[in-house]
Amino acid sequence: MVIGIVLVLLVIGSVVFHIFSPWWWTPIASNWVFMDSMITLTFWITGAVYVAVILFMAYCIFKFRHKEGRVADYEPENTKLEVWLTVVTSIGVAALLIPGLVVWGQFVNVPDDANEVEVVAQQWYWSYRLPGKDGKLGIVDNRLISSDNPLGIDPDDPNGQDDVVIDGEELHLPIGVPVKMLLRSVDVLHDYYVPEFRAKMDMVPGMITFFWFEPTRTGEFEVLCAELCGTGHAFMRGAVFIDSETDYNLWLNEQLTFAQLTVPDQIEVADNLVPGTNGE
Amino acid sequence: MVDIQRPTPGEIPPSEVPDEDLYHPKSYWTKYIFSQDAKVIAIQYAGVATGVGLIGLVLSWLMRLQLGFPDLFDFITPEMYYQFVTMHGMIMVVYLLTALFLGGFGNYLIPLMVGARDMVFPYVNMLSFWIFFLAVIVLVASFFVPGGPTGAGWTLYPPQAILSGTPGNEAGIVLMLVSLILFIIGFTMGGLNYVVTVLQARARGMTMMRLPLTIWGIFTATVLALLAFPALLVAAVMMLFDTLLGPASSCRRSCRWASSLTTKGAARSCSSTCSGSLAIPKCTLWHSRLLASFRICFLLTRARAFSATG
Amino acid sequence: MMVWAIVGIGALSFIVWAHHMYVSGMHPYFGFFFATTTLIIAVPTAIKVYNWVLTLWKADIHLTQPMLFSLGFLVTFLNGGLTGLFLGNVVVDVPLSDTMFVVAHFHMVMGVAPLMVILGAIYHWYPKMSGRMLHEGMGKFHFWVTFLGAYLIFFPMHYVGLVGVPRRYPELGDSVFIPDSVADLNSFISLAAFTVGFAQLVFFYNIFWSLKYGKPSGPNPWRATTLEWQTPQTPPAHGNFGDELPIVYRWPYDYSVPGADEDFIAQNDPGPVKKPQAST
Repeated sequence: MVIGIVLVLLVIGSVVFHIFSPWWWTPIASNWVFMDSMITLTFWITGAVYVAVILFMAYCIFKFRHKEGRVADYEPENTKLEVWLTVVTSIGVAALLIPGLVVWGQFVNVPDDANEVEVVAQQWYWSYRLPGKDGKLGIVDNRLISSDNPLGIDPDDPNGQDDVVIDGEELHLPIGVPVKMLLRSVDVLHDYYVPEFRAKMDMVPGMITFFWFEPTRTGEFEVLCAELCGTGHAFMRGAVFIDSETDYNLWLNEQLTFAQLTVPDQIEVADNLVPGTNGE
Repeated sequence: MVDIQRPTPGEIPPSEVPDEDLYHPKSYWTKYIFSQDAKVIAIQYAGVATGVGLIGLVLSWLMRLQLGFPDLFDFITPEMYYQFVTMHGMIMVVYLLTALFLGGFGNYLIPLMVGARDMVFPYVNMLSFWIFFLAVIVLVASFFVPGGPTGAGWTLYPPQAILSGTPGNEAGIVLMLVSLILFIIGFTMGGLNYVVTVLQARARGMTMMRLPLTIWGIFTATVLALLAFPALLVAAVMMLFDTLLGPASSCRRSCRWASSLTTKGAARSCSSTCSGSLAIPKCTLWHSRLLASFRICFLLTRARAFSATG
Repeated sequence: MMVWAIVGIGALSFIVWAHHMYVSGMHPYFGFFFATTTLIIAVPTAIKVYNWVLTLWKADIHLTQPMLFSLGFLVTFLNGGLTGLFLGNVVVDVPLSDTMFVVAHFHMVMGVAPLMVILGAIYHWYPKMSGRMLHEGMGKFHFWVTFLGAYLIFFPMHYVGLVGVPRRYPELGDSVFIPDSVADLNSFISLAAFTVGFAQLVFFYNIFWSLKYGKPSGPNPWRATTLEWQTPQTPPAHGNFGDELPIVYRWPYDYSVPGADEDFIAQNDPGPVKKPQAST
């Protein structure tokens, strides 16, 4: 009897908690509003089922609790009810699955005009590579990674010379332009996750994974690693800024390309040949 | 299924095999320690599983101390936190839930509920408990080795689990894998018992459809586990090879797989996985898929089948 | 039907595994397949839950200790199963993967619900194993603290995950997107966890206390039909059933059969003697 009351209170409490909860998703900054809509739809459907079933249980506990002389009804099978419940559940499941898969179809089909940005993860920081003026990312090989070549760009590939290298710093992206993030890991599993963008994907060493999104508001957003990668996993944070087009271009002009990264070495070498001269 | 007909005793089919003589223990050791009676084995399983589950419970408290009051407990470093996370997960899922549900309740209830005197392979049943006990000893030993227990997360993602950025990557992970291997061997012995007893040792008149749902749940879960655990065993062995023998053991295949998956344009870093010099990302594709998928597949299947008790 | 549901769940469970890998970088088209199979497997599971809940309808409910835990199981399993529908739907899983939402889900469905089952099972079969009943007051206290406490631990945790807090993070740092109140929520969850943990001491004490001082139970205190309650000795001796193995005449759920003498008919009860048939 008490448990019946507690169940009702539990359900009411859960619903009230949900309605008044200040703990909700952070405001979205990308085009994936449909993910939020799907979550809301799922909350409605599952919430309705939850409330209905538990209130039904509480009702049964009240009405059919043991009293002197009470005998249970003997009804071991009710095929009609089973079929009806199966049909209703299937419809409920389909109501969740079909819109979900439609949105997933959008998620996996990258728009043709998306920019490409490579994200390189390693224990325990983020680096990025932009295709540069030629719009193509050059070939990379993890074996070429060194202190001069932090992302392992192949120096023989002409496409790689103008790739913009951002080593451990923040990334900037222009607002309103869809971007395909190409994810690469140097060592172990990582996951590029910005809560405001909603999308995330693991980086798996040995393959290139991707996800795409379109930023819809400016601001500074924190990047978190969402796949356990060692002791520094919780501290592997980064920052991504969504800028207006002018701000983005200003930022881009300040970044170094791969060619520029390797050039100072040549200057240093040259300077060392001339004693007494300071390097740049 | 409703039995409307209640057949006369003559209509129940005779038993398929003659009633075999049970093993009767004679000494204290064979009666209480190395007992072959499923009821005693069940209590042994339940006791050890609960004991190690209490360790898991304390680990969860330590984690909650850190999460609830982050700045208060300096002695909980991130390394230790990950060790708590890993050991809590592994203990609770494998050494508590599987051992208690299937080893504890299964051993006690299956013979009683199907109308048998004991399990069909009592000696193997006894061995299965003691191998489980050994697996628990090895697991607890990992708390006391240099470097401590592994902190790779209970999914033990390779290659992170055996790299220097993860706690317990020297000895802890080795002991964890050895413990898992032992557990799986012991579980297979026990699992065969449960399955064969349900299939073959039912009393006269006990058809499969007259079995209580508890038995159906335990039976299905055991079947799923018997199918899924061997893959985990293989993955654990492969990872042991990687840790102890070095990266060459599973390099080449992951390289071929990687090359077929590279996207157009950007980077082809297949060759990077096979560089002999770095001790890193050799086996990720095979291992991470194999280990994670099969473990989680098993885990999920068992969780669902357990919903069927009752 | 329940049997077919169990077998169906078992068989289907072999083709759902990659729902843990939606963001692992696997080929995106797999997401369609595994989301579908995962949500299909929700249907037989739902049938089982309906069966359990509808068994309460027009029943004669004795709120014994095992019954309380069974009801607790239904609530928590329902909760966990429904949040699984969020995560099984591939596109909803993308923002929620590797957050505390996942941790809350699997603890609810795989931790709290099985814990209710284990405890309920121990309360149910303890009289068979020891010949004594567990102390009722301690049992009720243990149930309430465990059930409500565990619910209070993991229900709010879903919302921590919804905010975007990742799992396997020992500390949150001072991330902007996480409101300060999340730290308070975390503290609350921790306190609930310690309370539930300490309540288990009462349970262990009960087990040992009742071995000596518990009320003697007799062979079948729950008036159950299954064979383990029909053993000649309680606790069952070596060999379980004495000289003669039982012969089974009926399924295990003949409770409140109209026309029967008792409220239950044991599985090995042959029933009223039938007149021999002429053709035999």
